Amino acid sequence: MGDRFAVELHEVSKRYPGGVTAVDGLDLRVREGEVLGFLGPNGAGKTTTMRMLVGLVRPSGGRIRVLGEPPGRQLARVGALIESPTFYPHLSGRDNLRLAARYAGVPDAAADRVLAEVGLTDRAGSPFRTYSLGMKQRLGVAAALLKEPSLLILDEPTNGLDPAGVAEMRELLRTLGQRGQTVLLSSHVLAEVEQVCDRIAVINRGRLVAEGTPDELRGALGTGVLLIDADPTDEAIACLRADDRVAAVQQVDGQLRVSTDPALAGALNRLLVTAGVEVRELRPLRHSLEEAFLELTAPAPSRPQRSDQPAATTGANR
Amino acid sequence: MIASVRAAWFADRRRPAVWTVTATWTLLALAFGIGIPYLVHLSLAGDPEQADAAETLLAAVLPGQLVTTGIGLFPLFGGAIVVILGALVVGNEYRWGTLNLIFTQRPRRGQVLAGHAVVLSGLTLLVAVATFGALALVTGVLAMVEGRAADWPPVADLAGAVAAAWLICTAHASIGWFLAIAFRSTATAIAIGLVWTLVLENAISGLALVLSPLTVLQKILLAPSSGALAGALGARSQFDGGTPGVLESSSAVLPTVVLLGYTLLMFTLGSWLAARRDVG
Repeated sequence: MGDRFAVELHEVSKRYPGGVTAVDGLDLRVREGEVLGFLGPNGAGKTTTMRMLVGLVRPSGGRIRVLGEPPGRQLARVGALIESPTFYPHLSGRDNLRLAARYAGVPDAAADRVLAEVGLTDRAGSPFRTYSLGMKQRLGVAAALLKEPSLLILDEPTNGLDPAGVAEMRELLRTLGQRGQTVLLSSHVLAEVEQVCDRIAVINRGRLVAEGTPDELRGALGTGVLLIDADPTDEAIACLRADDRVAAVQQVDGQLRVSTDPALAGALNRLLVTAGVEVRELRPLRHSLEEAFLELTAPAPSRPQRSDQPAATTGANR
Repeated sequence: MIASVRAAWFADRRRPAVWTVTATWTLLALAFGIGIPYLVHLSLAGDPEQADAAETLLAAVLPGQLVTTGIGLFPLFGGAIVVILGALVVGNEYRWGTLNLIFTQRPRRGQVLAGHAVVLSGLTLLVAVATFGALALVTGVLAMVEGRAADWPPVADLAGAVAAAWLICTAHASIGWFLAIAFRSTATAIAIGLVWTLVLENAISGLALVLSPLTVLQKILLAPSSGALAGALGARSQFDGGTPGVLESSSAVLPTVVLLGYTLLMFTLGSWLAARRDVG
């Protein structure tokens, strides 16, 4: 992964006529060679952002650079599948790709290469209108790969794929990442994002609310709970409940869930050891990526205010 | 630019609608230009009092009048059909969302649309050539059947008529093309295009007969200019027993300039609009 950025957005906004603001002062950078997961709830502005990156939609404000140039100038090095795949219904999958190849200035033979890459060779001669949703999606990914792009922008590439197709797509994305291609991947399948992405950016209401590695995101929002495996358990519970820094202690599946400031882990360890309790394990309870995502993108009124969020990873506190 | 033309031709030649419209128009041209006059001729042929009329009708469907019969079909009927062709080739890009695909490949939007315009102009040339080709074939056959001499028109006259038909078709197609981009819809473009060329312009032309100031406006309208160009090439106007839409005209210069102006204006406006608007 390089230090240069394949994609840079600075204070980018998009307001549609009628007053709808799809993207609102978005700052985002994608390093060359990284696979960046781009998450957000429906209507968060992901697709509009991706459309702006390929020049389909013009920003209302801010600055965008794609491979060092304004959007639309480097299309020969950018492959994209944005929203649903759009092709000529009467043309076969192969002819649709040949058509795209002619616009892109790449040889017709590239169509067969990418058809094989997405596992669509057997149905390449069938009209696009006869394709299933999953096959349409594969063809969309094939079209994005046609130019052997330096930057690949994929919006929900696994939409409509069966489990085997999802696994194949994941493998393809991993391969692309290993080849050093930059990938900006939007998906609602968080397990997929977690497995293939080097970093994740979360947007909500058109603004970046968090970014970091999957581990950083899971840890960025403290749960305020320590998990402790101690023996004897009863003595540990009594000892912890006696400490006024501990809000609550619960026993779940043989472990103690201690509601407290996770920064007190060391102090509580000392407390238990001094009391003669053996501490086998003590660690902060972490969110799953899904929990972190839901918390980061929760509607503002119900979202808990925290003072312990690391400013470096969550945009909401910046 | 060449890549865009190749790609647009690859797409358009595989559109069933393109060939359906072309074939439909060719059949209509044969029906209106040859079939109906010949049937009327046959019905009058046995009546000695109608012998002159029958002979005039027969002459119109023989090779000697190929130029005037052929070009006379384009101002009203042909123009309306190719408005549909122009709307179809670009309007379906909006319907299918395929602009997302082609605008994210290598060429700039302006180059993509220029490629589309070049291919559409090629298709209208094909329509003009196919029409005159079919008319030539059938008039030649009728000459043999009727035992008349096949007095073919000079090649230069025939080439001039094909070129004029091409210009009339391209100007009309560019209207459909522009409207499809402006409304991002095939159906709306066809509806408005047909109302424009068949109703609005003919209404103005009709009014110009009683309101002389409108004759100036009439000279810069699409359908009357097409009619005047056909008239300048020898086609008889409706008032002279000819085809509806044809107007008497002594010069082809002004109608040619007007039709070229429409073509350039519509292609330029459509390209500009599609290039500056958001897609999707």
